[in-house]
Amino acid sequence: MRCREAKRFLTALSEGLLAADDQKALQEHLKKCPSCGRLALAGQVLTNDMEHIRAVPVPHPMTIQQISEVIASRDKNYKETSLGVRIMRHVNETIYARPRLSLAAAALMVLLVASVLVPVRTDQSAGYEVAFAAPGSGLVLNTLSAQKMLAALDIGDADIDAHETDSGVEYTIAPLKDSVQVRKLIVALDSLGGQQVQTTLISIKAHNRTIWQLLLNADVQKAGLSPNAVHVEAQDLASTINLKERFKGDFVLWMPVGDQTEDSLHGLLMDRQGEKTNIQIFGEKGGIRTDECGWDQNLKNSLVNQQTPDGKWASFKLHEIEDVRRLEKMGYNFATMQWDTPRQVPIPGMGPQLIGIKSNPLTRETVIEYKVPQAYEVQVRILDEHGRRVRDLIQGCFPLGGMHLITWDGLDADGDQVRPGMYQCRFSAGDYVETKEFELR
Amino acid sequence: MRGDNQQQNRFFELLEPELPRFQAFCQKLTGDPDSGDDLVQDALYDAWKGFERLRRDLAFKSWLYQIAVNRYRTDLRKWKKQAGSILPLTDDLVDDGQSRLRLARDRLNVAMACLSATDRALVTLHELEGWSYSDLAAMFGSRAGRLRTRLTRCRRRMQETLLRHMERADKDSFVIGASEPCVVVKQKGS
Repeated sequence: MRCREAKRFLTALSEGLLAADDQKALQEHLKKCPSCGRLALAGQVLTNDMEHIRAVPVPHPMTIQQISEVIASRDKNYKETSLGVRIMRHVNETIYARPRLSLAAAALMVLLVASVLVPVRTDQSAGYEVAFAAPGSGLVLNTLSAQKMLAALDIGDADIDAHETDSGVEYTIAPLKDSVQVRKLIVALDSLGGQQVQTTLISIKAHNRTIWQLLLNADVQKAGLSPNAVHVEAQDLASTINLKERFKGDFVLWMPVGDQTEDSLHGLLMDRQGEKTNIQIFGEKGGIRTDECGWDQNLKNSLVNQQTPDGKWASFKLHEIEDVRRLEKMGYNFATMQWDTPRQVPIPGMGPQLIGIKSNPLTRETVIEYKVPQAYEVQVRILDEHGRRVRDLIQGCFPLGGMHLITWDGLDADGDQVRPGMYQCRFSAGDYVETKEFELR
Repeated sequence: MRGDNQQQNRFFELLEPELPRFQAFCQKLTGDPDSGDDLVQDALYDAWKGFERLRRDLAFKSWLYQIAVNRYRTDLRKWKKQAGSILPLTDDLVDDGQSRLRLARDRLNVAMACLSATDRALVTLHELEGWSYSDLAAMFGSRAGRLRTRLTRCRRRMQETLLRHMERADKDSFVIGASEPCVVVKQKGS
């Protein structure tokens, strides 16, 4: 007999359910196994003790009279106790009786107190803001339909601010809670193109560094947006460098400028005069006289790009990120950086686009993903590394607006398997042409 | 219920035949007569206050014991928090019937220390008070088969706990198993 079985038998024995043969087998096992023997002994001790306790009568039985007196006395004490003490007793008993509930209640109270004491962040410091324009001539989208669109996207809490401009109507939608809502909205705006409502994305703003990092890392590319369409505010130079190195876009950098700004900027920027600028720095007006700063008019025009409405900030243009690093070493504190997008520039991400090419070495199949906002004449052609035509996958097709996938089986126009190597995919939709290289393994 | 004489009388009428068994249960559950009497008073006061919420007189017994178990659970938390351990063993020389009872209580307390308050109540009601599985099922709102399994597990755990305790104790001074034991039990931790 094994010990496990012996333990089961012991349990059955304590309940009087063990057969005679099994009892004999159990006794033999207990003689051989000291461990089980001690367990059996403990069980026997326990049974004896319980029987002994069971047989002992109650030493001082209470009577109903005593009980009623006790209850009356307690009730009297209870009534004489002040309300505060009663509440404290009740709370004390509840803590012991229901510790989890008490913990939850305490956590809730802390949250309530914190929500009262800690000021709620304003819309300026949290959330996203999306701005887009609808040209005046073909305007179908109005505020009401924009509200309906937001409600359909389950982001009806956001406010819509619409104002007319010379070229149409500009809409600002804020606050959007998270990047998922932003992405929903961008996709919806993109799909409006198929309904003859042309919209142009102006900017996406995120007022929090964590949020913009999320935005840049995940949603910009997923939404098929060009980074140029993103307008973010960051807090430090490292963010600027990240953006620059990642997307090669244009920057607007805000900074408070000290007394030494004039000379240092002057010396720094003189070398860059006349060159194309990629980075703009907005400096506080304090140390710089924008109108009579000592720089000649031509230099000022090239440097001072923009002023804030209150006149406190002015912009300066730099050419390379190295210049920004140099400025920081000089002691400038970059308060805010903006990565700006010039308006009225068509956004590549909103039109036709060759999104991606994925080649599977096992199946020798290559999946090509593209999108068109509406029915374009589309051509997808595979070229070899020297630019020679291998095969036309799509020729003169007019697919509906949206995302599309097409698979290339690795065969050329004659039906022969092509060799592994570098190939190109040329995608054209209307006047738009885009070519991407990929490797066929 | 305060001020309602009819209800008060009804409460005491229902309580009277059950009181001795209820007191015995509380004393056995706590493992100590004084603590048991305190539990009786606390539980009965709670029951008296909430009697008007009881709709069926037939459920009085289960309801009363359930109140005692709940009260005991709360008290147990307090005791554990205040004393760390509520189950010291006696260090007296056991040589008469009263001490034999005390030793049995202490050993049972040691064994039951591994159980939750509800399991202790379950073991007390079944093993020491002789409640049937169907009565227990009615009180705890569970099935008899499930309670039977639970009790079997409780008993096994109690056995193992007691065995561990025996093995930890000084073998020379802790002799068990004799029908008329003469046992010296050392204070836990000494």
